[in-house]
Amino acid sequence: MEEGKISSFQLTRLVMSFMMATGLIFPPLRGVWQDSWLTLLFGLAGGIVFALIYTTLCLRFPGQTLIEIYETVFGPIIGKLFSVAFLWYIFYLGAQASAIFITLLTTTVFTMTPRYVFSITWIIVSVYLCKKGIEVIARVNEPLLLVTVFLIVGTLFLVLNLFDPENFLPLWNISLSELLWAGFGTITFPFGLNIVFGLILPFLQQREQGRSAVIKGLGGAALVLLISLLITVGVLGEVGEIFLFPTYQAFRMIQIGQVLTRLELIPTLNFLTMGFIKGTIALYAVSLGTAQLCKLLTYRPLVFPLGILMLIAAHQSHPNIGVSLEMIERVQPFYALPFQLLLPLLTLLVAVFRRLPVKEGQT
Amino acid sequence: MYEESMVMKKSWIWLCLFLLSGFTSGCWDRKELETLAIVSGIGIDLAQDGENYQVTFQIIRPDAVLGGDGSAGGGGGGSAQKPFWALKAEGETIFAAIRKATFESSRRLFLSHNEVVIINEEVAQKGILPVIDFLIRDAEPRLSQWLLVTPDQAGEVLQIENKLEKIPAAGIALQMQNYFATSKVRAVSLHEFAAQLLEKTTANTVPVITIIETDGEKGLRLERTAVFKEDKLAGYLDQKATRGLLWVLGEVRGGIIVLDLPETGGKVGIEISGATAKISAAVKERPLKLLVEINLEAILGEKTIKQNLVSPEKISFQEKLTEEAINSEVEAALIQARQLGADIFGFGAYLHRHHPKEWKGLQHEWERHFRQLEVAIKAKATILEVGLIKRPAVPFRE
Amino acid sequence: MIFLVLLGFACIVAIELPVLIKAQYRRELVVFTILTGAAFILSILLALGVKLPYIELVLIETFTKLGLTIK
Repeated sequence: MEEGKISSFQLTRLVMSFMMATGLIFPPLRGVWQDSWLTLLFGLAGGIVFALIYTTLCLRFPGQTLIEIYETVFGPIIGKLFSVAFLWYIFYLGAQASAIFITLLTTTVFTMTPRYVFSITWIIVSVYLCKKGIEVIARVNEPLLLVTVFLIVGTLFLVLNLFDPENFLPLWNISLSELLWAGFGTITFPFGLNIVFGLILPFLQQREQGRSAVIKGLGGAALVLLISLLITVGVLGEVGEIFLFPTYQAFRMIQIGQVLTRLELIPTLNFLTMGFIKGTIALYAVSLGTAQLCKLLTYRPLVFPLGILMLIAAHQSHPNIGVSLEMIERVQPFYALPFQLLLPLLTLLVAVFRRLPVKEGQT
Repeated sequence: MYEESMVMKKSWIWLCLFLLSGFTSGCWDRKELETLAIVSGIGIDLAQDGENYQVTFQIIRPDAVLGGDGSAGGGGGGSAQKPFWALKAEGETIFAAIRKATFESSRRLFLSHNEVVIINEEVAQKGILPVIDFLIRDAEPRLSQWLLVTPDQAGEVLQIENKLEKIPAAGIALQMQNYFATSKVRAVSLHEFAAQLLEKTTANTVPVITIIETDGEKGLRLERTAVFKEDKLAGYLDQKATRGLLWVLGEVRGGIIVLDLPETGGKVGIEISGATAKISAAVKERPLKLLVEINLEAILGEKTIKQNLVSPEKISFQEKLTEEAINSEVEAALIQARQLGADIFGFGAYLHRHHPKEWKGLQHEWERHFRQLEVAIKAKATILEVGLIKRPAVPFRE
Repeated sequence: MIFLVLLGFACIVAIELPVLIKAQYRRELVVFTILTGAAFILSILLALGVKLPYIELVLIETFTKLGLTIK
């Protein structure tokens, strides 16, 4: 199936890229502009709790992916049903990432280029990478992540003259219910997405480090997102709330002399690389999961057709970005919760109840 | 294990190269310079019928801009063409007008390098949200362009040649950026304007540009400040009040304060070298009490009397006079703002940020509270330098 | 457009199929055929200009009916 192995540090970086991708361009704001940093931390805490649950599962069933675990725990029929639903979820995640990315490109930089030009190039490279296996994905991720983090941290110094701490006041301008709802949204998107790594954890060299690797990755992603958020809110102030892509807009404001201008390419580039890794990981996970679901010996022949299906799903994702916003802000949390929390939790409870897995020597 | 054979790997690479060559060999959205009409300034007037907009675009003529150098050196040998072209188009909306302009222009209008947006008074009175929505929404215009209001026709303003700059709109932009020479103009970018529109209570202020005529030649002058309530023009501040506003906002960066010395009848020019402002509030009291602390660092710039003013007592006396001058400027701004009922200082935003609890009770009737607001001004001026001479150029022991 | 779709799928089949047949992977072949067939049909439909439902609209509608939305 997958003969490659990745180190726990590589996994950490994969988690970082995966979590950051969409958040870099669609910051988790949800109408709580000044206090978005608070909801981000809230989301991180929730994401860690989610991660604890499924990593416990993975540790309990060493060497198995979530797809295999579902089947072991629930039996072939119900297990397969759950798996199909779960695979759909991951599949659509990848489609969403590329759909948002295409929207970004077509509304900001390439206003007249047809959409399919981007999606086709995106999918071809993604398919190629997936076929090469997780090891190669992890290695490709390394320089891309390095560049992204460097660019974001570096920008922090470029915006010093535009940065206004007053933009964060009043500090606690949010009611508890607002915080909980917004935090709920932030937990499921982006932090809860790390459930995808339930399909990748078995390919870790040191399996017992999987949990800490994932949590470190979440923390790292939260840190980078926090910096990006500080830049966006600090530079734009309240006006940022009306923008579709606030980060892009904040970088547009940077103008240092006549030389350092048009830096809005930085967030675009960041999302290009991180979103690409996100899409690729999702495609990889779906292909692998489908292969395991059908008990195939290899996932590789499935990558191409699934990639094309993902492309079609990206195109059929939303008629306009307004729908996507509605989806992310109002429906996403409820849609994602069963896959991110309820299913793993249920599996864990049933596994404990049924005393699975059966250990060697026991009958 | 499933492994792709070498042949397959090779064909795979070929396919990739083949497809990539199709997609990467060009850029769909390429914008060649010679196919674009680069707009440097946009003027917005009401059309004759009073409903539609008449939009004037100041378009740079690249050839004439470059050719101008030669003609200046060669003593008028170059072309007589102006380096810009003022193109007018009417439309029901701004975007419609922009597209209509292509009926007259051989090139597509390109807005990324636009520097100023000049809005006619009548348009401003009707509300400028419909105007700036396009400028914020579209991908081309940048948020750093300057916003101005004119009582004259905006189209005419954009026709007037600048005496020094080849592109008049760039000249206007530079004029705005020189505000710190007097601190009597408040330069406002589209971003700042939009940001304040989102604050419920803060009234926007935008500089006013007017056409003047000196020695038969037309020119442009920045004067006064237009005050917007929400997106509608509500009134004007004079220059004194404009600086008063800038004192409170902490945006004064330079300028001259002229003091009348008592008794001697002389005048002293104090040059501002930097100022900060700090607001604090006593929110429990009714009417609300605000304290604005202004700290000024200044230089003794000039004086018109023979007396030597560089002694500790005299300096501190001038500091006191400076403080009084600041007070009267801020007072003027306060009075004019109260008359308009427009919170140009952002006091409401300040309370919202620093006293969110009390603000909840105040925000609905903020205009009433603002009119009754008691603002105490505490100016502190420090004269740090006296220039290059230590006493006036008069003989010793006069 | 339809021609491009046909060309694209022909390429994919040309790349994947020989390897699958040579290695005698039966199950893989079946799954591959199903997925490629689904992708092919959808692509052709889209290329013909058939209006397919938008995924997010369907999801939003479903969840609104269930009452599971953030106000």
